[in-house]
Amino acid sequence: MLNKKDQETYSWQMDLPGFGEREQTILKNTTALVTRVGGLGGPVAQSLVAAGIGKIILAHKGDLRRDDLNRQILMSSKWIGRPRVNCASLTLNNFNEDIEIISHNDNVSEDNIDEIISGSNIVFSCAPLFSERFVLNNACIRSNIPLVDCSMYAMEGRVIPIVPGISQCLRCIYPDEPTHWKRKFPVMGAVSALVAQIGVIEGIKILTNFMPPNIGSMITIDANEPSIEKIKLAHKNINCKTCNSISPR
Amino acid sequence: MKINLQYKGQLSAECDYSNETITIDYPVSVLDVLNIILENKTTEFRKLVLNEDNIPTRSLLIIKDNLQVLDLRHTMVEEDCQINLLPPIAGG
Repeated sequence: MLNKKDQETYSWQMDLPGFGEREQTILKNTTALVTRVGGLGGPVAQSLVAAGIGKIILAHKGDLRRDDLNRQILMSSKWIGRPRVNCASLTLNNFNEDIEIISHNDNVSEDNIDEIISGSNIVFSCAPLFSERFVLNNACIRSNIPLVDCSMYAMEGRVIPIVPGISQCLRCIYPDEPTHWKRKFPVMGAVSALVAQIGVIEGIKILTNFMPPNIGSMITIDANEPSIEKIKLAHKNINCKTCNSISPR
Repeated sequence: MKINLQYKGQLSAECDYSNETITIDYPVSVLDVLNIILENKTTEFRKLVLNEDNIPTRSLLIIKDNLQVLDLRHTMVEEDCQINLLPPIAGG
């Protein structure tokens, strides 16, 4: 149930067609995992907190560096050398004191994912490595948790809403190892933030169904054109090694 | 007939442009189009498209008029259609 403070805080949001007290209450009762809190994950976490998500779990290993600051908007130049998740938690908590935040100074891996994902109702994947994205994908399929995969490169971005058992998983879409991907990629903070907002909107649609989420599609964002397009993905891959080998719990 | 191509992600960076229009004779499949465009591309570009066996990597998304194409050999292209090539990206 929403209290008086919630009703005032989210009154403009609850004016959206199809989005009322029921939908706001769903967000309040939701726990979202966001991995990591950089150029993409930072604005994802911020917009989830602004939208009134009840609890947010953050996972990102390492300390803030100066060259993070062109895009990691939850950070501050005063905090260089401090753990990024601590900085992110502080910023998010200053923005919305009613949100519960759990932070892990670690990146997700097969060794820790079960602990980190525990209690999540939705996951936002914003990691810069496919290895982490596939760990999250596997965990979400195994635990039947919706996943919003957000990614970017240079002036482009992609958002894939994944609902286990219904839509294509990340392995259905990328069955071969993307060996060409390099850890360092060109990024302008405004582009990663733009992609993040599309990801959050899709996540809120999945959670509340206030509008139909774009399940079975990939949303592509091209800030060059500029354009936002929806690509209809091929049917679920019946030979997908993830969908076929992992049994939902 | 004219076919419009768009290269995304690292493909665009690799060839320094993102749009190309080619003119070819009908009938032609998506796989044929792919082979034609690879004729004048760099080794690095080809590596993003083809696997070690010289066949298109299954993680390259090939989109024809906003629909993902899996059967490259049997999907035919039409006049003025749009084919987009999207290599996987994971920037976060």
